[in-house]
Amino acid sequence: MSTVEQSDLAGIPGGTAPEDVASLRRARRAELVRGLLHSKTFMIGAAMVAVWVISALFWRWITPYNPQAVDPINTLKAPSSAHWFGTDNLGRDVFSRVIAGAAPVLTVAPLATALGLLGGITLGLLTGYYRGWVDDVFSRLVDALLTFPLIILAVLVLASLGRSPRNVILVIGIIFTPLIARTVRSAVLIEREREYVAAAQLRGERGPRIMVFEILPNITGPITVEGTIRLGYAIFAAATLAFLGLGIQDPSPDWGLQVANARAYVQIAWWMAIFPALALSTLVVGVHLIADGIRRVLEE
Amino acid sequence: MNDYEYHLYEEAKSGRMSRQQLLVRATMMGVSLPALTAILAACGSSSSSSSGGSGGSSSAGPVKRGGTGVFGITSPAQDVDPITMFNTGSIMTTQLAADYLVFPDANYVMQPRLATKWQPGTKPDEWTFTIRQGVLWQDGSPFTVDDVVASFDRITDPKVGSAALSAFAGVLSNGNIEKVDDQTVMFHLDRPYGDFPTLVSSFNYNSVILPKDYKEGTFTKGGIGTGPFILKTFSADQGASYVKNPKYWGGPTLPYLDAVQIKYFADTPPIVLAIQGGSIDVFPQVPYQGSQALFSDANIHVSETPSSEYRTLQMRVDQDPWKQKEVRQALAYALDRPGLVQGLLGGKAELGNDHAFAPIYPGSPTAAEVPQRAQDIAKAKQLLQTAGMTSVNVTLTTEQFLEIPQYAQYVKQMAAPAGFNITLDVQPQTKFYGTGANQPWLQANFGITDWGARGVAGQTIDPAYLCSSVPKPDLSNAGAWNSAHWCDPQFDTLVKQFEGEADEQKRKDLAVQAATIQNEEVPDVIAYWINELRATRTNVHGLAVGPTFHLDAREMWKA
Repeated sequence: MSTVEQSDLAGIPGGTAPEDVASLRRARRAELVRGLLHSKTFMIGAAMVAVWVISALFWRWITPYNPQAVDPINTLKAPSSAHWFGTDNLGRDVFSRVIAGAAPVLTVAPLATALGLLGGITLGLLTGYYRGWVDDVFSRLVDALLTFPLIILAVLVLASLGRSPRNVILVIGIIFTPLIARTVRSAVLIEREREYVAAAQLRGERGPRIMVFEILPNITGPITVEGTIRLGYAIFAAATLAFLGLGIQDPSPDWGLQVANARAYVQIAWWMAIFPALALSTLVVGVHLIADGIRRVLEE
Repeated sequence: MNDYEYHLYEEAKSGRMSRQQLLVRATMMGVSLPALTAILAACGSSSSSSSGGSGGSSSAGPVKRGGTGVFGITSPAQDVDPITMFNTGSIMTTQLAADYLVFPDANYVMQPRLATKWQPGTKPDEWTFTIRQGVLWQDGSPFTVDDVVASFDRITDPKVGSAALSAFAGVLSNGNIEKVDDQTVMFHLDRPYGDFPTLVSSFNYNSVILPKDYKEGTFTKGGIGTGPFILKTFSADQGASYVKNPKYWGGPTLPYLDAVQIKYFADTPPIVLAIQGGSIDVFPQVPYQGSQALFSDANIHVSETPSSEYRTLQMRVDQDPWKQKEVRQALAYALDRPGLVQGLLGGKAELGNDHAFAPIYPGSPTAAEVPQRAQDIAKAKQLLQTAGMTSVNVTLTTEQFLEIPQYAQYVKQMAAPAGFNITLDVQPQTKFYGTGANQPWLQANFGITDWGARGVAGQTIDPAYLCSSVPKPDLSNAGAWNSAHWCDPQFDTLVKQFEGEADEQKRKDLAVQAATIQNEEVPDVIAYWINELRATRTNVHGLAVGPTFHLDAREMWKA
């Protein structure tokens, strides 16, 4: 990868000056952005996600009704001009709840992914760089963890910790940590054999500095792809936990919760389930398209 | 005609008591059928109860015997034992095989079963029951008065820990059941209690009559009981199967079916699908929420009967912010009750008025006697101001059961304009009821609890609103279910006078006084009384329509 070459130059005494390295990195970033802007996959995904991000940020101004406002006289009303997506069993406007439901999803999932990335990158750098017994122990632990169905693990932890958005973020973040760490470790195992790492070691730089300032900038590609894919899974995991009654509680307009509540009414009020489910699908597909687009551009 | 019978006649003749109320009160007090017929004839009516079988119209044709009836009910999720059972799955599983002394019909009229007649003493602190003769246990041994005495000795024994203790507390103590002769048993009560037959009926569901040598935990082995069907197989997570009891005392006519099967389900949606698909014939206790599809299904008949089933919206009167009654009243005025009835139950409920005298009980106060509380946000705000508050932050703790989570949502939204900021904590039902010293439903500062139908007001009031039923801090006084921790000695006195009074007008006056206090003090909001729903496939006939957590399939048949 060209990134490695730039960094190699930057790391060797007497090589390219730091300001040149910075400009090279800027150029590389610009090239990446241009590539993404020309990627149909990325752009379609970004557009889908953008719709929900805008909904999450501005739902208070977009929604025609208060998403929590009940109307006992107008329960289970079919889609109409007054209620585009119909009403639920409490008479709440489903359209407003779908729009507002983007906020909890796009709060929990990114934070959980960020937590997983933080833990995963740290563990991946340590185990990949130092290898030895640290790596052996970690690898066996991850293998053991992966033998459990992850959703069962999440259910067990949430049942003991209690249900709250914070705990959902913690659980998903913790479960993602070893998975991300494994990807990071693989990338670090390749990078640690590069000359620029040897050069840094020759300069007397310490391990933590080499990991953070030499290796990490060179593995942002796989980390970005992994993080984006994980974001998609985090959205799905949060919705699944909410569906199982272990995530966010009513009256939150969380999509998973909406689908769970709709289960008993599917025969007579299909709109209660279908619209939040579609919202969830479009967001997850959008995030995965973004991940795919980034991966393809990086590979080119 | 004795004095009480003449009193009933006067009440009915003057129009102060409806025919239905007359039937309920007369059967409760053990008025004989000839006397009841005479009273009704004098008032220009007949003595037959109006309770019918679901789908059992005259157009159904002659009774068709044989076949298997299949019921779909919620799983008891534990081994079933009549002594300790408390959930619908267990109760219905038991009731197909066992009997009570008396059994209510859908209109709460007490019908004789293992007792053929009953009557109070000169004061209703003694009750004698005449036991049906010639009844056999399912193993062929004779049923005797000794079995009746042993059954009530067992469930009134605090060491046994029956759920019936809460109903008998302060009314019937262990050891006070006497065998008078081979046909008669006498109950010596702790105090006069005019509604005592209710406590030996299925309204006190642990009052099942069991053999005197019954060993707790053996019921599901099968073959125990005097009921119309013999339990053959039982699986706590699958279901139970029964065959017709050839020795049934109601035979050879009854039961009509050759066999009965119960299928257990974890939740409502699969039961709805099962009855629509025809894999079950009966969904005996239908929650409105989630079952709406049944109402428009041409193959399903849903019967609706008024009941005393309700929800408490309890406020701990011994804790802030509920110590001042104005705060409790403010919450009561914040709720749109007709809206709740419509939104939660599709209109299939009666309005509640924050007292425990359900409209279905004879002599319960009317809205003219205790004015119906209605939504008044301005008044609610004013009451909060009187209490020195402009807003109240509270957590509403409740259970994931039936329409209750939705009720909690409505409470949160409806109370907000009055100044209540409510956070919801909806717990799994097992966690909410808990065990030992950890039972959130009795400890929460603010909660919603489900109460099943009871036969008389006292059955709810005694365990839930008397001073003696306030739970101790460690919850060591079992059966004390006063979740609001409310104690009003004047209310206690009125209720006990009411329960011991035979004169219907005096009972009415006492009920109005007690209800007025409860309405004013509002230890809990009682917003609605639920009409019970029972769904059957249209080829099912003769099944009693209610009360819906009671199962009487003796006369059920399938076309």
